[in-house]
Amino acid sequence: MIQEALPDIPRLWTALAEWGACLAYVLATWRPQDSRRRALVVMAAALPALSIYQTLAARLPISLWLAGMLGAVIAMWGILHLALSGSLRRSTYLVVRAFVAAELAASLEWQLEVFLLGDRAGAFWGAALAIAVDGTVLGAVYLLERPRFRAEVVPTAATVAGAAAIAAITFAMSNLSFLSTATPFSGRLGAEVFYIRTLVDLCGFIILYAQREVDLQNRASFELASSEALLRSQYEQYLTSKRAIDIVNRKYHDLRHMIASVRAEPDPAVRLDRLAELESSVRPYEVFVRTGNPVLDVILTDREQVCLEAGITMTAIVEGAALGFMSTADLATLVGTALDNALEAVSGTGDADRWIRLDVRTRRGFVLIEVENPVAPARSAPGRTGPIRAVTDGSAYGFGYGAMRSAAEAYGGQLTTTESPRGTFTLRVLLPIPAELPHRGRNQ
Amino acid sequence: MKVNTSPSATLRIGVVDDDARHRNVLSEYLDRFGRERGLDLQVSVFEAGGDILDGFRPIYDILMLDIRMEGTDGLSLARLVRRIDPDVIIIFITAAQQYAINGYEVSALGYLVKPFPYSSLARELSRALEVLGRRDNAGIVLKDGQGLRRVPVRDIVYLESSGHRLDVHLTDGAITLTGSLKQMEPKLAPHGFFRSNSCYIVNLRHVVAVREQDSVMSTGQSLRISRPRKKEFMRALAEHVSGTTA
Repeated sequence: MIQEALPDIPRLWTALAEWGACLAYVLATWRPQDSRRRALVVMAAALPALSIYQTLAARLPISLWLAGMLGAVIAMWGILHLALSGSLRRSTYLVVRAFVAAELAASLEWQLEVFLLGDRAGAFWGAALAIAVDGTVLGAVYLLERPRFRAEVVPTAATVAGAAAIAAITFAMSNLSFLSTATPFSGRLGAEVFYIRTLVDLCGFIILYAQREVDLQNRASFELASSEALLRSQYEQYLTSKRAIDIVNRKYHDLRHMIASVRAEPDPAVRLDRLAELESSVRPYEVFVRTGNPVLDVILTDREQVCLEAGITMTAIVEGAALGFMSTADLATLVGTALDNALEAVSGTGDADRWIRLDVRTRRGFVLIEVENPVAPARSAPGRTGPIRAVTDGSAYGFGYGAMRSAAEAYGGQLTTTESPRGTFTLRVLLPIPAELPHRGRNQ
Repeated sequence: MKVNTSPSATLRIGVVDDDARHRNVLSEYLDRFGRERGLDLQVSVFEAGGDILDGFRPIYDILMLDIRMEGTDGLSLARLVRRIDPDVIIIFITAAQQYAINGYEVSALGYLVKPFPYSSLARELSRALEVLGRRDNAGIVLKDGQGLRRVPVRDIVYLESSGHRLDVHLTDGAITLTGSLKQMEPKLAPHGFFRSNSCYIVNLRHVVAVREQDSVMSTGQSLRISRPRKKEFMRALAEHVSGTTA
């Protein structure tokens, strides 16, 4: 138990540190969409509430000390959750950090107070010191955390669990000396107990800070991967353009000769034939699509080339601008994979039936992406046990189906597939058009 | 897919193409399509956009427009047509697909890339027939306090059950009648309605958005979709939106 000679932190000091930590995190994670008035009201009410709670908790028997601390954490959680609108997970993540910061501030302050004021600790000058030290420590916490939380954050469940574990261990280690001096990790001499507690709390705070840093770095490298994919697709577009220019230069030479021969042709019928021939010879090179969405342009131009080579007709009506809210990676996954699957399916059908239809349109509050293609007739003739295509549920449909579905679901959309009696397969993705946010990431 | 167009109904098709040879090919294809499907097609062929625009009336079911023409090109023509007839199905014919990719501007159903085989035309026309078939102007007879009354299905936003009564919410007002959703469901399902909850049947054509677990109706109400029905609801909605995009 706590040694007689050592007075422990007055409960009001604890309440002050906890309130200050909540305030520091409310300020550090403030977003413009949070209500200013609500935060003010909550924070104003929180200080007396925490003080009263701590005063009452002080009367609890020592066996309920842990329960009392848990109650304080829950109270802080409630304050943060009410002051900041946000998910439960976000509030949990913040309270874990705020709690460790509060422990650190209170511990350091008390250590200094006992050292400086000795027996007069806990009185008037103590209160002034408490406000000064808590203010300094939590002000530093605010300055450290503010830039880390500038971006909207909803941590993953694993991150929250990790942070909670760090906080729990920090708390346990820092208070071990107070519960018992009979462990190898406890201090036995007076004031050193305070010092150990402060140090352990500091370590806990640093570890949490480092955890956040690693988390942010992972996020950044994910975004980097996406922009690399974009660069790669731009590079591919450049290569495609370059190839096209080479072809045009070569064709130009041929064309001049053909035009000369058409001009010299006296028979109008033959002339028309020549012209048609000429037209069909240049038609394949008119493949640069402009949909209003640069990512879709690359995807479509690329697949268009494949279609030309394989003798597949692709008809596309695409309101590309409607998909501007999707990230490059998600768009490439969704439309690119859908077209690749269609190409794969069509390559197995008869010559007369090689077509793909792509449709991207807005309708009311939705964008509908539709990819339709014929499927090879199921080979049910006797003696043949060829593969029979999966129907309706799409679970066995092509590669990347799961990735497509999760890309659609990331935007609150739904992916469905149907096989019509006409022998065509249709994949539909219905996406709600986001109301206000122009860019909706996967992590929200 | 059941096509509601009965064999006796006349399908009016307008074709605009300034290439004589291609007009012939198209006419031949259309003849064949009519014969094969047992449809009575009334085909009007025009050589230039101006000819069809002259005194244009919304009498066609389907228009097939060449995109690249002397004078008024197909896309401008389609824009002018849309002002008078928002419902006609437009199918473009093009030599270069890049001109058709913006077909959504005029709600084109699709397009055909010249030169195309008969099968492509048959496919596009089949889709057109499906869309026409889904456009029902059907009505349903409801019995309220004042007696029987016929309500066009497109005016019904949703049905709500409360106890033994049913409230039929219309675009303007509501009708209360006795009955259950269970009785109404089979009557309404073929007209694009969906039972989204134990107390609602919604008209999919009035669903303007889905937010979380709610469907937002054209009248502004949010109606809860029951969790187990959400997936099926989205599937039905996707199919419905797809069938009415043209």
